[in-house]
Amino acid sequence: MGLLEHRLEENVLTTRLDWLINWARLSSIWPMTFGLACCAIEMMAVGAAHHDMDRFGAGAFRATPRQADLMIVAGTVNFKMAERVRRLYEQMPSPKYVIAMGACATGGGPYYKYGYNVVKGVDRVVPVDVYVAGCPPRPEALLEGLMKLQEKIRRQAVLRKPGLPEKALFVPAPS
Amino acid sequence: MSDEARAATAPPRAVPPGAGDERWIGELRPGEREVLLDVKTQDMEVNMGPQHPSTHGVLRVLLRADGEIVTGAQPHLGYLHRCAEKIGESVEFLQYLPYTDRYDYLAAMNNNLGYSMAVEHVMGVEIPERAQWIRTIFAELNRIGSHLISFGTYGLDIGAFTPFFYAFREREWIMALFEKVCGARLTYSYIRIGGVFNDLPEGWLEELGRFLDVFETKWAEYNDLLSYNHIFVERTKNVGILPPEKAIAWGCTGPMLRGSGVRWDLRKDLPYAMYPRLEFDVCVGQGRMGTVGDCWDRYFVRLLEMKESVRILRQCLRQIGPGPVMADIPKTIRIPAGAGYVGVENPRGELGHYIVSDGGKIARRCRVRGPSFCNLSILPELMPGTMLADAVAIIGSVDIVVGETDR
Amino acid sequence: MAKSFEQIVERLKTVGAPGVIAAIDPEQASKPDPLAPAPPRKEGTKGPFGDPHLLVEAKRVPELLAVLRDDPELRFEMLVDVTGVDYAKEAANLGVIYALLSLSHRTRLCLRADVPKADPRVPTACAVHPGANWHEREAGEMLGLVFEGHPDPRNILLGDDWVGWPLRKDYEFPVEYHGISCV
Repeated sequence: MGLLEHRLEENVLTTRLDWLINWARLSSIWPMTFGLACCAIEMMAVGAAHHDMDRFGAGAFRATPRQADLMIVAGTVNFKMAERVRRLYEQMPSPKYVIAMGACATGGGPYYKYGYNVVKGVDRVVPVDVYVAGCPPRPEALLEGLMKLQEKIRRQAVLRKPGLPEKALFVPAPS
Repeated sequence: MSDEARAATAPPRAVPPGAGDERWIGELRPGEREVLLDVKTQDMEVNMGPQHPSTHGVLRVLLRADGEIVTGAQPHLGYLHRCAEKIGESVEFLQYLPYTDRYDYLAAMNNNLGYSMAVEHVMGVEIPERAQWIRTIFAELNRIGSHLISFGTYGLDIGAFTPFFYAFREREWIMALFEKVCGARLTYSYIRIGGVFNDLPEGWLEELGRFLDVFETKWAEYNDLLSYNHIFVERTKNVGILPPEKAIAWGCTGPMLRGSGVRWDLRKDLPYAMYPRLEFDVCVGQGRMGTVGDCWDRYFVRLLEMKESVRILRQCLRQIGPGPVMADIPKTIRIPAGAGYVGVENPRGELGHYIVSDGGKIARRCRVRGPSFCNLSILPELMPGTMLADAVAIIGSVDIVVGETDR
Repeated sequence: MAKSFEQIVERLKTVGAPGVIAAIDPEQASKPDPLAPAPPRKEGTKGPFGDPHLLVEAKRVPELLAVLRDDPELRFEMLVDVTGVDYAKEAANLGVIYALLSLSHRTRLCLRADVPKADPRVPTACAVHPGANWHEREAGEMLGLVFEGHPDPRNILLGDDWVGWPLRKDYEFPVEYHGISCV
């Protein structure tokens, strides 16, 4: 922090804007209420009291894509739904993230071979940031997926050029 | 053409008798007086879903509204069609069992039971007694788990947030109990063709007893919390009334049928597993808050059924004895040529499997009759004449699982 | 109270119900041609297991359903399920299955009506049992059955522009749908 160090009062923090923006983003990822199938029940369980997704600042499930940062694709996407998934994704404001929850959203899951109507992975429709394995994933697995997403956001380039080395971004929080 | 455009150009349907009051503006009937001559009204089409927090999944309903009054509703399904029946005739009998978990994912044990019973029916095997007891226990325990979700989310739909957290608290315990026997929280495949996968672990029945003790006190809590809440009652009584004749004609089953006052429960009337040896009441809607067959009645039938399930489970705990849990069946199941239909009472109604076997390892046809599918088909009849805000109350009271309507 | 299958068949004969062809056992009901003479059963084999079916004429199904519903001895008030079956790739017929339930007599009954694949037309049962509506739509899109007089014969589960009937045995899986690859 160089020049500014020890020149200001104690409750003023100095940090990099990049870090600050990423920190703000990753600390309040609002998911969209978007349950598709079985995984949605586990997603509800994550939102409920026992597992409590709110600990990660991601408990405010929004009913509209326009207020959401994160789309958790919780379940099988079929062709009829694929168009809607894409449209919902496009309605979300940037920056937006997608978690593919469960085997179906990741790659068609058990419906891969005979599911004539099933999209073999939601990544054929929208870009996916984190894949969570399981059928359905346990709530802990979804939480792990969320933490992975937070790690990813922490490494994002907001103001600097994307080419800069990543390790420069792991700046510890000023104490 | 987009879906909306197609829906808008489709001919209007399901307009109820009397509700589609079609006449030209200014056309008066005897005793009527025109007040505002320049006011023009127009029916409005409101699209609800497939991404909507109150449609319990990816259901899409196209509502036609005249102001605040709904004049027609058309559900659009298929946003979760996963080709279960095609898979049923492409994979071996036992391999299909995991797919049964996934149609009504809130009551996977009951689905396992329904499919296993259908295959056993065409196969002609006898199930050992302990296996039957275990099956009954899990069917009832899953019924409680399923009704808990229905209770919690119905509260959410109506605007009460707290019941959801109460319901999930007890549901987590049920999940833990399931996990102890089969390792999965949601998709169990525990009830297998010929019996159950393995015996109960040590101390499991005692824990179930402890759960039942706690659950009974919690049940009273749910009842206090939501059933007589003034706002809840006002929003659900006299809304979406389903007369019993209509319920039967449209093939409604489960709490939907019983809410209309029809005393019909497959567990009682066409009993299977260990139900003939158990004592329990069939709960029916009585119109305690409004009219028989309204949303409140359907809600309350579910709540009472949880209590009956506790009663059944206590009897099971007393009567279950030791013994084998699996009938003697070969590893690769071959079924002699035959066809048969078996229906079981799922939390949402009658889950039917129609299986045709040609004598091989793979079924020739595996038809699934999902209760939600039939219960939902009456929606166009229930909606007209209600307020727009009641649509959510009615859909919630039908309590669908989209995995089952679309399969 | 509960009626056996034989009693039902007997009663239908007495009232002269329209369209009944024969009573078939579960094994015959699983064959593409139910009336073909069955090969002799092996000694010691049990069964056949399952439900005996009533083979009926497709054209007269609604009339028969009305009789089954209204006759005081039968009272099959609820049409639980309507579905179609493609028994084999080379079979000439499709089967249409009606599963009925009598709440008064606590009895089930399965009907089977055969229609030729070349012209799979069945009159709709919606006028008798309105609950048949969605089942028939589903059977129509899945097996290509045509329910004549159906109030709303659109696809219900698949998209409106879906090609092919997935539950036919000769169905070929799509390669691409609306720009999304299927393989």
